Amino acid sequence: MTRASLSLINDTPSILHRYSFGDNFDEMFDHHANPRELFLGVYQLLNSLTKQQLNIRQKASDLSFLNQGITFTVYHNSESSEHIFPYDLIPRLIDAQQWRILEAGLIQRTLALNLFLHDIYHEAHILRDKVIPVELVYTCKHFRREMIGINVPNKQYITLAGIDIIRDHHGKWFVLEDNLRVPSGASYVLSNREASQRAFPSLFNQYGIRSVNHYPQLLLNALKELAPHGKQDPMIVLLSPGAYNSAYYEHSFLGAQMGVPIVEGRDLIVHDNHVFLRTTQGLQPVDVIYRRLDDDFLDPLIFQSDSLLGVPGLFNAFQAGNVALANVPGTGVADDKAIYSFVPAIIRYYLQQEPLIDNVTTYLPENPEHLDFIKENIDQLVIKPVGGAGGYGLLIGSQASDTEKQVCLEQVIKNPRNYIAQPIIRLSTSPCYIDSRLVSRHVDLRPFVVFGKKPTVLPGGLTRVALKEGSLVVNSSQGGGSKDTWVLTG
Amino acid sequence: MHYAISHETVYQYHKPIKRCVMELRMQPSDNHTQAIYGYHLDVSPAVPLFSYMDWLGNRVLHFNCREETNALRIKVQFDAEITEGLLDESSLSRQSWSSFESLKNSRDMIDWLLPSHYCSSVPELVAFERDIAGETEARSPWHYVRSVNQTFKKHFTYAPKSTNVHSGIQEALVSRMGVCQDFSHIMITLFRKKGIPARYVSGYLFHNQDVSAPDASHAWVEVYIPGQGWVGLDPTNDLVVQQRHIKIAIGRDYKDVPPSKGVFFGDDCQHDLSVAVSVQQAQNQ
Repeated sequence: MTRASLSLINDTPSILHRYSFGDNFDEMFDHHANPRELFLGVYQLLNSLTKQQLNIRQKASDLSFLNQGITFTVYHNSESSEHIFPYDLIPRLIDAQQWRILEAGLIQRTLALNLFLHDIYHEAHILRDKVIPVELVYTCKHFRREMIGINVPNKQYITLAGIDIIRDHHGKWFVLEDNLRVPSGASYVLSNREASQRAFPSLFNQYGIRSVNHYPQLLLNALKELAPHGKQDPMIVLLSPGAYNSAYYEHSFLGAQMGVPIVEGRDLIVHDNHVFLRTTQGLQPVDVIYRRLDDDFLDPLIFQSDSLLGVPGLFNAFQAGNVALANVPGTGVADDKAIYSFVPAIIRYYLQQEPLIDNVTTYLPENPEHLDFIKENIDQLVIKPVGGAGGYGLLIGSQASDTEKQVCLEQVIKNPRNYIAQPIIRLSTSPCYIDSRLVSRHVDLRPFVVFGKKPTVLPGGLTRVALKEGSLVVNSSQGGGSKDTWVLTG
Repeated sequence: MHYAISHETVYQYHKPIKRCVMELRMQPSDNHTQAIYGYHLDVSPAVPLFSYMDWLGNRVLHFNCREETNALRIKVQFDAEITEGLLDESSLSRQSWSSFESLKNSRDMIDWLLPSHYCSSVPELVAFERDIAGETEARSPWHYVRSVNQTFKKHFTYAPKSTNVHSGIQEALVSRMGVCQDFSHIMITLFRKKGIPARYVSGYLFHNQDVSAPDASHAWVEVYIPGQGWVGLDPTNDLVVQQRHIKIAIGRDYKDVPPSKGVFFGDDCQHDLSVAVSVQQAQNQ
């Protein structure tokens, strides 16, 4: 184990002094603790700034986040609380060449998953050809049988995907999970950009960073393309579960940026198989719904009948082609964590290509050999619920107590379809400015793929930070923070 | 055989409702074993009707009503001609257990083998399975199916209102009372446990000294026998379905095929539901 640390030949100890990252892969420094070429600009700037100067910038950012109300709700047992989304000052950089590979890999993945969704809701060739076990798909909670045989506009199931990617301790990129239901986080990408540009204006210009500010326009254009019968100037609304949802800040931000009304279920009404918005001027026809509501709550007539959040009759209007939904119901089957382990096979099956970004090795406890492996190696594994999101309910073997591991294994054995296991990956670290010190923290990256006529990856994404020292859980729901991601132009 | 069917459903609200959205699974399919004539469905207040075929192949009618109303009436009338299915019991009983083994890998069969909302095993079901083990010891899957179908008349009392449409199988298994829906769910769960594909059928029965109530809609079970196809069994009346059952819809269980379901808006949506069904023998046309 090499322990890299920096000491600088400088009179005043710089902020970089004593920055250490153990034997992790650090985004900014190589294993000799020399700054990577890509990060030289950041390195020099940090070297030249005093703590006081950095503190002023951090305070200004924090205040701006607070004033804009950029929040995220964390659910804890029965209580929930709204927090300022913690923002870290130091940007994470990705060079153009690296990004080209990631971009191609993300597009490849999104295309394949969209083809998969069309196939399993129609002929299901992939099941007949036994590439994926029938039972795995049919026992997935998010597989919506109501979608079988329904023709979706442009065969487009996925309008927006958030695909979480990580780097291991060698710096190799992997896809950790796909989010194809109602992925959130894009608004934070834009807020982070505003903050980072304000904190380091000259550094930003010196590098030449690709813009992310066109995201609302990108999404709006993709939504417009879904309008039934190619209608020009369609009425688009953002359907939100309301102000108590953890991502409500994002809903209001995106609604305002795209210039589309933010509505709740009670604002919409289905009449004669068409959807209308109730306004003071009467009913206005709605053509496209960017829904930030899970399938279960969309339509109490079809899905969860006791839900008051949705719009009764919505699904029938959708299946008749009278209104478009983004994303389409039933996309969750393709981001199920057990199906995830088959995504490389899905890419090969539909595209006849090798995956450009690898998956993390995944063990399915339904397979008896895998289960034995899990039992014997739980110390080195992460156990995750397949339908979970936000890092709720996961167990990291190396950090869990014997009792916790025992309880978890019992759950896994009782309900093998509900869990997967993966090796614990030591995520790459990135320098973060916390409590007036530069410290290394583990990070991942959630880039966003907007799929209009063709898939486009927003250059950048949400770099999520595990704020607690040594923690590998970056999810915002678990109190993680984020930082801006700078993708270089060329 | 030729039947004239009428089925009237009335939702009577305690206070007027402002609007509602509804789905109906009340239209039988017209096929080679069941010919449908003069199908008529009326909703009052009058509303435009829309329709689609669901993923199970059932015809679904749906509508919304924005007129304030005290009552919602749905009236269905049609004639059905049922062709007697040829039931070759000796050929059915030749199918061995092993011919069922590969069915779980088939997309067309898996939903009839997996547990579903109302058809998931509970401890009381396992106990019941043990109770009837002596009566259902079987040489072949078909013998097993037939003998299980016979046990309900003996072990359960047909008792309208002993359960409701939302009851799980546990209730009927504990009280040993129930209606066709409960018996069908229990039998489906038993069959699926044994790897025999089974599904729920909603429809009507032309009654002839049967246990079930003649003025209500009916439910029974279909099992898939490899090489033979789907065969209907009526646990409530210990019948093999031949020519007195008129089929409306199929599903994994009741949840997939309620004849009517809806969402109502109003200050007080409490209501009384009344259903009147009549199945008469008609003149051959």
